[in-house]
Order: sequence, then C-alpha cells, then structure tokens
Amino acid sequence: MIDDLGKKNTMDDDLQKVMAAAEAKQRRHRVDEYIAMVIAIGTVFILWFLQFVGLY
Amino acid sequence: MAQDITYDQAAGGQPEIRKPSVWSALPSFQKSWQGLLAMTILAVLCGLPGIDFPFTLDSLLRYIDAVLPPVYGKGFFVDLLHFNYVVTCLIVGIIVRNVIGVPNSWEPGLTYSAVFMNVGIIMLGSQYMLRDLIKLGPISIVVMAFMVFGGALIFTFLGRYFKLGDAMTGLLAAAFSMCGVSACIAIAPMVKAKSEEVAYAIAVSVTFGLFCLFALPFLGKIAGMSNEAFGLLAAAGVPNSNQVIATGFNFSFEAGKVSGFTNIGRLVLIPAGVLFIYFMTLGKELRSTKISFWEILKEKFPLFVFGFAFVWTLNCLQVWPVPASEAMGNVMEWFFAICFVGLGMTTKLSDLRKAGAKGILIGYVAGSLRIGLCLILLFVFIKMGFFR
Repeated sequence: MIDDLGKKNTMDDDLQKVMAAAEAKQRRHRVDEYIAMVIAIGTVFILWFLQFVGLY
Repeated sequence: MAQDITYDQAAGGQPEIRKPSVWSALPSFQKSWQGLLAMTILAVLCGLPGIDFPFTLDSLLRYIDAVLPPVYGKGFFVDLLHFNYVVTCLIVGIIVRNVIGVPNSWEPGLTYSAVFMNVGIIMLGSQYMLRDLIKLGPISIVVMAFMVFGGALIFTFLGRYFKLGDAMTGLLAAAFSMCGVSACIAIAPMVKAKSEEVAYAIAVSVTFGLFCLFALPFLGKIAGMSNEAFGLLAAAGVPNSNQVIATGFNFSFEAGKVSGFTNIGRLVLIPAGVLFIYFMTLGKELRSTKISFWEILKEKFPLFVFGFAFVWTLNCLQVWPVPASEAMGNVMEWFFAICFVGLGMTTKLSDLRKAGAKGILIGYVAGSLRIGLCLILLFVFIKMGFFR
C-alpha cells in the first residue's frame, strides 16, 4: 500500500516535470518566433534601404 | 516553478498564480554570446553562399578536387559526394560536438539556432511570387495533410501492433508526423508520458532525421527527382523542421525553397495534428485531460507564418526590386548556414544508443513507410501533371 502510494507520487512528480518542460518549451518557441520576426523583417528592410540609396 | 506574489497576495487576499512572461524562457545575451559567436565563426569558416572568401572549408575542398585526379571523371568532394555549405556546416558542427566537445558556456547560445531557422523561413517570403503560391500551395497542403494524419495512423497501428503503449505511440506519432522534438514535447503531458519516454522518442526522431538528411538527397539524385518533388518529399518525410530545411538545401537551392515553404503547411497543421494523435492513441477512459481546440490553436499555431506572409505580400507587390530580393536570398542562406552549424553542434551521436534497438526499429520502419507513402503520393501528382 505504502509502496503503491510512493510509486504514484513519483509518477506524479515525473508528470509535473514533463508538464513544466512542455510549458517552458512552448514559451521558448513563442519568444523565438517574436525575435525571428524582428530580425527577419528588420534585415529585409535594411537590405531594401541599402538598395534604395544605391549601395548595390 | 517560480510563482510571482501579486499585490492581492501581499495584501492578505487569495493567492493568484501569475503566468511567467514568455521572455523569461530566453537565455540572456551575456549567457548566449559565446555560443552565438561560435556558430557564426564556424559558418563563415565553412563558406557562406555568395561570398568569395578564400580561407574556407568550401574553398579547400574545391582546391583538393582541382588538384587530385578526378574520380569517375568528377571532382570527389563537390561533384561526387555533393559537398555543399549545408553538408560542411553540419559535419563541422557534428565533429565539434562529438569529437572536440562543446563547452557548457556555449550551450545557451546554441539554442538560438531555431531563431535563425525561423528568420530564414520568414525571409524565404522574398523568394516567392503569387504564381508560386498558386502552383505549390494546394499541393503542399494536400501532401502535408495526408502525411500528418496518414503518418499518425501508421504510427498508431505499429505502436499497437508492437505493444509500445499509448504514451510512446503518441510521442512517436507526433515526432514523426509533425515537427519532431517540439511536437513530441508538446504532446507529452497530454498523453501522460514519462520523461524517459520523451527522451527516447526525441532520440529516435532526431537520429532518423539525421539519417534522412544525408541519405534522401542521394536517393533523390539517383531517382532523378525534380526540385519540387524533392522539396515536398523532404518536408513530408523528415521529422524535424531544421532537418527538413537542411535536407532540401542539401539537394539544391530550389528544393530548399520548396521544402521551407511546404514545411510551413506542416507547422500550420500542428494544432489539428496534436488533437488527432491525442484522440487516436488514447482510449476514451484515459482521456482525462480537458482539451479545448481554441486553447491548442492559440498555443501551438506558428505565429512567424505571419512574418512570412508579410514579406511575401510585399514581394508580390514588387516592393523589393530584383537586386534587393537577390541579396535577401543570400542573407537567408547565411541565416540557414548558422542554423545548420547549430544543428550539428546540438546533435549528440550518443542519442543513437539512447534510442535503443526497438525504438530505432519501429521509428525507422514507420519513418521509411511514411517516406514510401509520400513517394507514391508524389508519383500520383506527377502522373496527374501537377509538376515534373
């Protein structure tokens, strides 16, 4: 009985760990997307501007 | 997990759990600059497309090809083995990680390789016109829908046949049918997977993707596949997004463009795919997690697709003149090159051992079946005259 309870607690702890990892990964994904959008759109406009002013 | 104490709680009211900001997931620049610098320097030393810098690995391989006698009338590295910037960046990254070793201080910076991949995909919008979208869009959505849901069915069937268990079946189905590591981690709490099962499924999908990355371009060249067909095959058959892009560009620039574009279709299908796998793999009695489609859509929908759409719309409106769009194409490849070095430097060959014999067998058999299925689908499209 006590063994079963201990096993269940370990499983719950493990599931909490998996959930925390999934949540952290999800947040990282979102922030990666925001940064990527800023870098990509910024780069595109810089390249357009450099061409616009006749640098190449 | 850290919880902030709110004003209400400090004032003796009911404690309120405040969700941590998304920005807290990002390692600081102070922690990341070494890894970022290492990836950039290695990418430059491998040889960036469009830059004639003499002291690069690419120049060295071309020099060796010119000096050594030809093999079967071809240069050994560039013509016969098809060494290009994708292969050199990946191999150098893998050697640095697995032979020389990566210092711990580089690890946070290496996680930014996903950012560079997203940057490259958004900039891919500058290489597409409306006619490309009309030509490729419907086919890619059909192929991707078929492969995401069909692939999940294959894995569910094999998982049940080999008695893998619901959690492992769901993890492998998500990893192979959608976007590898991310999908695997996303579905893990829903199917109540254990942490070692998650690590196991990730190892199987990453090693299979690595195998595809080098093997599929050879297969494509031998079969004489067109760039469009190969780009679709790479996006449908390879599990991880950055491996998809690398496989496509390893075949050719045009195939890389197609695989990058088609991969967007797969990413858009993630919310529906996650729900499909959840309902397919878990029996009714085990579905204890309350699932809301809108919550999943909000959490899993890839927002950077809007960045791609923005750049693409401006390109269709001819805001970017030709010299600028050509430069954007080059810079896009530089970002991908840095991403490929990062991909190599985060690839641990010891994962092959972690995946185990049974996992490798099931993952590789089911992964190969998906590729076979995709080839049949592409053959049908080719016969119907959609592309060569």
